[in-house]
Amino acid sequence: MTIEYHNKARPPVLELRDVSRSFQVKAGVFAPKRTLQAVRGVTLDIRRGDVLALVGESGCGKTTLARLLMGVLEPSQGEILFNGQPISGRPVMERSRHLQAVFQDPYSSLNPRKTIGNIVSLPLRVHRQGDAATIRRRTVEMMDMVGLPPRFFDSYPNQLSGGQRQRVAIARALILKPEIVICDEPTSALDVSVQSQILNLLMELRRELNLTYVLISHNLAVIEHMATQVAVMYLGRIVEAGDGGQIFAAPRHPYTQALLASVMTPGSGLGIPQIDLGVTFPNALDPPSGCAFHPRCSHALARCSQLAPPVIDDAKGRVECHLPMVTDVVNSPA
Amino acid sequence: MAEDDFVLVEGLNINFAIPGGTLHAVRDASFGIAKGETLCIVGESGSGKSMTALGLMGLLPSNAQRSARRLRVGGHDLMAMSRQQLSDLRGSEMAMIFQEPMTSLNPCYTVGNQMAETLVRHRGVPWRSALITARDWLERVGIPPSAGRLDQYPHQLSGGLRQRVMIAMMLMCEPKLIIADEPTTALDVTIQAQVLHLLARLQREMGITMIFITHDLGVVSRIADRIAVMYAGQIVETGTTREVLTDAQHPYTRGLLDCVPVPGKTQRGAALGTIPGTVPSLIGRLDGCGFAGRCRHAAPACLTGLTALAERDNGRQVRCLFAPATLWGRA
Repeated sequence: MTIEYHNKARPPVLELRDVSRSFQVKAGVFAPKRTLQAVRGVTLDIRRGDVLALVGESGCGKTTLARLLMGVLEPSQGEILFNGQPISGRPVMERSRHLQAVFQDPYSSLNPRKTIGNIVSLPLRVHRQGDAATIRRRTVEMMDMVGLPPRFFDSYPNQLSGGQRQRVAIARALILKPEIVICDEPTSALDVSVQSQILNLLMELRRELNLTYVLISHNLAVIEHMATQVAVMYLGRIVEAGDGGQIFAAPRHPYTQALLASVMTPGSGLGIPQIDLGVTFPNALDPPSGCAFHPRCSHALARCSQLAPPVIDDAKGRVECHLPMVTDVVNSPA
Repeated sequence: MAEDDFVLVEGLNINFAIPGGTLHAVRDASFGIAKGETLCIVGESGSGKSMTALGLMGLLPSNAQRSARRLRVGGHDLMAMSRQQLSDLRGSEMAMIFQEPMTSLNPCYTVGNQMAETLVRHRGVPWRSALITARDWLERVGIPPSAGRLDQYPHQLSGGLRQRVMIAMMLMCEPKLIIADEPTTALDVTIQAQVLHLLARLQREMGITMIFITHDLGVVSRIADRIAVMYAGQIVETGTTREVLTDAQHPYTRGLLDCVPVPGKTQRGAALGTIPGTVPSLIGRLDGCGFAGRCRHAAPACLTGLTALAERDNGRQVRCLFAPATLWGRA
């Protein structure tokens, strides 16, 4: 039942090659438009069967990256390869067969005027897969797989609880048998007891259907539990990436260390973690020079503010820092 | 619960008359908090934890009916006070901080304006000196005075800064009780730790009593002295943080603790614990234990009558017919 970690042999199903995305934003009513670099030069491999977690503070570009993967946005620069083939410019219909998404809020991601059967079967109808009877049969099968009884087929979303709605969203994402599912905060709108049900379901489906997940979450305990691979984002760049077990046991980037230290897991007598970070997240319109993290880094040297950090890519993963180090995890389990 | 507790709530009921009958949002909630202590109220959405806090503050929606045997903060009997007296008490003696700092700050006024107003309203100090106090307070919550934050509007601040402003504003009148309703839920994890630190430090310095409402068991374990677990409008278990986290007695508390992955304890990728079923409707006549429908230990006796909150030694309370010896012996 545990996750397998040794997956270097498997070919990547999704590759990002130096992908950037910028937006033109208005800085004021009369001010000229400025360029916001939401994602800056991201290179990443996602292998079949991986659960890749994207971690970072709000505004760091996680969601933009997910939208690039989904094809809702096109990269301004760089390339995304799916099974070795570039997917930029490919028709949405083709992408959606391989890539689907589950969103955060099951209250706004389901059309309140459509029945559950209608919502779950829509991808099949859009892709014209089979006649009415086949579609109905596959829909009921899919609903059963995510734990929704067939009696919900003609129900409306408002008759369902939050957890059931998220099951509907998962069924809709999986009905085309995609290879990759992008889960953007799939459980953060749910209660704790429902969250664990949905996480268990996602893990079960991954095993049964051999799925690859890109998981975005701010809940690091959930990520540690689920992820085989972790990519830590800071101001549009991936500052550290690697095997989940490796990163959680021995984070090398000071930002990753601060993030992990701030996780509060239940346990009595542990106290509030002391986080050594400045208060402010930098302005993405005007990113700091050198290493973007240097104004908040407690180990910063003079060169950190002048030179972009080198990329260190070794057996332990990939990290961008002038001074990568392994320190004790502050929040080691009691 | 002791007579000399700073906060004393006894038999608090909050009902709403709605078209289908009566919604019992809070049923027979009783708890006491000693001076300077932090009580965490834990529960899922709809469990009545926010309503309990609002009921104590006297800030319930107008269609709510509140009744209680006793409701006391400091020396004040809240049940006997007029609206005006309560309004004077709020902000000066007891203050509240909410989850979303954007919606609790007025977007049309500067930070300084809103902060100073609190002091002018409750302490009657002149505007000019109130602004000076406001600046000092921003410094105390870690916002440098040089940055000119007093003249900024809420939208110019980040979420973490806004929550710091809210904390400063709340503490300016030096309240004796603060009620924090999910104050860090909307914040990033790194900011959350900083804000909690700040809150804990100021609470210690000023000897404030705190009610902290959250659904995050991780946060609870780090800041609480005592925990009250709420389910379906009732307090189902209370005890010290250690007691509740390491020796949970109510099946709901146990279930809740099993649901969250704990790094180092939960095997990575293994199935997490779940609580089957859903929260019961709180409308109309409620019979039996609220958790009976989801409890794997439920017996016929659980389905009828009202399960009392049984008090054990040292103030530990559990609302379960069988807890604990019989139950966990069987489990």
